[in-house]
Formats: sequence, structure tokens, C-alpha cells
Amino acid sequence: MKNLIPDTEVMITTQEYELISHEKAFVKMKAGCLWVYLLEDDKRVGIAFVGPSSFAVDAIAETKMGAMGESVSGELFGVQLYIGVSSLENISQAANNSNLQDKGFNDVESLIQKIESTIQDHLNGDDKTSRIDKKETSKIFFGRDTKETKVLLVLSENKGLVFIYGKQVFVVDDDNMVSVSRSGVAVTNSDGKQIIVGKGGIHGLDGYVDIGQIVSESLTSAMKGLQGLKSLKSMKRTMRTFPYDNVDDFDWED
Amino acid sequence: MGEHIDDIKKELEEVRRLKEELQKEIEDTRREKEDSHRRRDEASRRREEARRRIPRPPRPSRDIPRVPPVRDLDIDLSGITESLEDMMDGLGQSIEMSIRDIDGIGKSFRIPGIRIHKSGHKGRKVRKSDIESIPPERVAKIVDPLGSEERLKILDYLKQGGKTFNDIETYTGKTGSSLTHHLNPLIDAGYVVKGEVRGTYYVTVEGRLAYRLAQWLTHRVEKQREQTANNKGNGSADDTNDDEEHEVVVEDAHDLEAAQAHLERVSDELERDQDSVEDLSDQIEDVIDDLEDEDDEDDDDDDDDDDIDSFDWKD
Repeated sequence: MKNLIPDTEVMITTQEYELISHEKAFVKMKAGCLWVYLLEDDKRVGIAFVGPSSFAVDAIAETKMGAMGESVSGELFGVQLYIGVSSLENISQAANNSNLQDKGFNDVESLIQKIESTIQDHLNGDDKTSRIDKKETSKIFFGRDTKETKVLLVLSENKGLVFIYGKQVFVVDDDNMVSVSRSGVAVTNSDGKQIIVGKGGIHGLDGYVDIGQIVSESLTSAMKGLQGLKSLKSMKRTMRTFPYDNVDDFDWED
Repeated sequence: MGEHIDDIKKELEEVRRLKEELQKEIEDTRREKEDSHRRRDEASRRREEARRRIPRPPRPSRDIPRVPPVRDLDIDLSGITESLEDMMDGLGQSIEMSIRDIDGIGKSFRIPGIRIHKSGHKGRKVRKSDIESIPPERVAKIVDPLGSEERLKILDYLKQGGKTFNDIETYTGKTGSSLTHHLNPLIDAGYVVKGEVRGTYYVTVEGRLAYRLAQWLTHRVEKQREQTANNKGNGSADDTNDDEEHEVVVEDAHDLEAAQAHLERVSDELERDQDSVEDLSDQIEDVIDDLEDEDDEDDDDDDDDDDIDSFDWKD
């Protein structure tokens, strides 16, 4: 998203607004949030905002064995980016200098600069290029909380989400989940079965005790199919000893 | 009376004779049976020997057609076969490499033969001693949050799925801080997790397990009490022992299912082994045929040499 730029018209919210409202996640903006539209090729694709706001994500999968995962929530701090549709205009008004100064910006220019640097940080840094294929219903949120931890939230449908919080990654469907954390990669299914790939090895494979046998048999049966090539080998041997192989060497003139 | 005795003696004599005849017949039948068995065995042995001794009929000598020297058409199949051989080698290497990659995932995988360790009998013993050495304070940490009917009710209710605070209020009849007083210990113990988004409460895997074990504990203790009460009523220790001997307690149906699954696996393995033995015997036959073919080819090669030698080079 190299062409993503902030608009210069700054607005301020006059009441609380739920920017993302999902079964398993929300991002809420309170009254007094400064915001501008984000433009890509002069088209409004999202907003950038700064001000009192919070988020919560239920990275929880309900399985037959019980719930797995955790809920993460916190206050947002600094400039946040949101790609997706919104109807903020209905609860906002044009911001004035005093509103900007309340948030620590001298003027519109300084706010725009801050937004541009945030876009650079999240999307178009030195060693990264982002390309986002937007769908009508897709919502993407890039932010930071008060602990300076990066938050990335991707929602495409009503069900399911991708949530990255610092070094933790959660991909949650209704009752399945893949999570990456310090302990390793955990894959959980609706039956509550979990496989964890961690530093200490793979855990949760007890149900797959026969996997060695299965792999060995699959390989053996696959290799058996190649037995037909044996005949070609014998053909090669035959050719090597073919009596007329070197007929050209014969001195026919003699 | 004397006549009667004579009659009886005669009859006895007759019976004895009949008995001897019958014994003789039985002997004859047995002998015939043994003879027929022996004959059958001999016949089969002879057939087997004959089969072994009969040499394979010599193959009709192959007339190698004289191929006219072809100068213009030069087909080199060795390239194809070599590339196929290379491909086979490459395939083997790539399989080996991909398996090596699996090996790198974790220590549980080892080639040859991926092994996933499952704690066996020995492990179970170790676990048992570990369990017995758990101090009371650790037990209290786990059991304390369950120590109220309300909390157990909540756990039982949440087994149905995630519920809001209002739902739990309605179900338990507890409201506000009274309900929070029960919910918080469950959350702190990790038996319940609260989704912050909609304020939904879920029972965790640990919570379900704890509740299940609490139920099991209840069942065991109640059973024991029942037995003790019966013993007191009967007033005889011997009766108790008898009851215990005849009592079959299915500790865990899951174990039985696992055992059944294991037996099914073993039966599958046996079938597979049988198949592989059959395959091996086929392969052995193939190898024998190949060896025989090779011998024949060697013979043929010799013939070819003869043919070449038979050229009249002087012409």
C-alpha cells in the first residue's frame, strides 16, 4: 500500500463509536478522537485516528473438551490505522486547533506527519511492502496499546479472525484455533484435541501412535509402484551386451 | 434254577463272543484308517519329490534374428535408462530429505521408524508415586475453587457453552457481587475464562476436567459409604470380601475403548503382515525368475559371441 496517504481534513468524534464490532473482537473509539480518512489513489479506504480508544479480542475456541485460548484487551495509545468501511462522519465534527493541541499536535501538518510515519511503521517500512486485497466486508486494524505492543486484527467474515498481539498469533474460527506463542505452535480442533509443536518436541500426538507405521507403509506402497522401472534397467543391461552394439566398428570393407 | 444258570452262561458266552468280534472289527477299521493315512502321506511326499526333481523343460533355443547393420538410425536407450535411474536416486534422496525435515521438527520423530512415546506401565507407576506426593496446599489450590455448590453449578451450566453474566444470574439466582464472588475464584483458578468482548464466560478444559473429577470423587466416596453401611448392617467382614470379589467396577470406559481400538489395530497389523509376507514370497519368486533369466541371457551372450566369431572375417 505504497499509495496510502492521509487526507488533510481532520475530524473529531462527539460520541462513542464501535469501529469494529465482531462476535469475538471490538475496537471502540470514545468521544474526542481525532481522525482523518486514509486515501489510496484518491479513494477512501479507511481512517487513521488518535485519542481515547480500546480494543478486546476473544482468541478463544470453544471445543468439546472446553474452551481454549485467552481474551486480550487494553487501551490503545498513539495513532491507529483502520482499513475498511465506517460511518464516523455521522458522529463527528471538524476538529479545531485546540482539539489538536489537546492531543499533543501543534497543527494539522504535525498530525499528518505522525500518521504518515505510522503508515510507514505498520505497512510500508524499509524492509516490507504490504498489499491488501480488500473485500467489501473485510476489516483490518493496525494499532498499538499502552504497553507499546503492536496489535493487528483482520476480520473478513462474521466468523473467524486473525489476531496478532506482539509475538502472539491467533487464528480463530468458531471452534478451531491455531495459535503461536512462546510455548510453540498449537493447533486445536473442535474435538478439543491439540497438537503443540514446541522446543521440546511435538506434544499431543498420543492419538497418532501409529503414524510411524502409516508413513512407512505409505512410502513402501508408493515405492512399490515404481517397481515397473526394473524392466527398463534390465533393458539397459540387455543393450549393453547387445551383440550388434558396435556394428559401426566393424570393418565392413575387409 | 440250574437251567437258568446254563442259559445265563450261554448268553454270557454269546456276549463275550460278540465283544471279541466287535474288538476285532474295531482293530481292522483302525488299521485300515492308518494304512489309508500312510498311503496318502506317501503319495503326497512322492508328488512333492517328483515336483522337485522334474527339471524345468529347457527353453526352446531362441533364434536371434540377424539384424542388418543400421547406420543411419542411432537410438541410444542407455541415456533414458540412466536418467530414469538418476530420477529414482533423486526421488530416494528427496524422500530422505523430506523425512529429515520432519526429523527436525521435534525429538519425537526419529527415522527409521517414527516413534511417538506413550507412557506405559512404568510411567504410570511413576505418575502414581508423583500423585501420592502432592502436598495438601497444592491440592487445596485445585480443590478450593470447587468448594461451593454455586461454583459447581456454574461449571455445570457453562458446559453447555459460553454464557453471559445475565444468563448465569438467572440460572443460579445469585446477582451482582454475590455472583462475582463465586465467578472470580473460578476465573483465577483457570476453570473459567471470560471473553472481554461480549462478557461471555466459558468453562475451560481444566474446568471441565476438575468438575468431572469432582463428580468421580463424589461417586467413589458415596460408593464407599454405601459399602461401609452395608457392612455394618450385615456385621460380617467375610461377606464384604465376597462382595468385593464379585464386584466388577468399570473404572473408565475410555480405557476399554482404547483397548478395543488397540486390538483392532493389532488385527489390522496382522493382516498387513500377512500381505507383506505374501508380497515377499512373490518378490522371491520374481528374483528366482530373474536369476534364471540372467543365466539364460549369459548363455545367449555366449551364443552371440560364437555367432560373431563365426563371421568369416577374412571375406
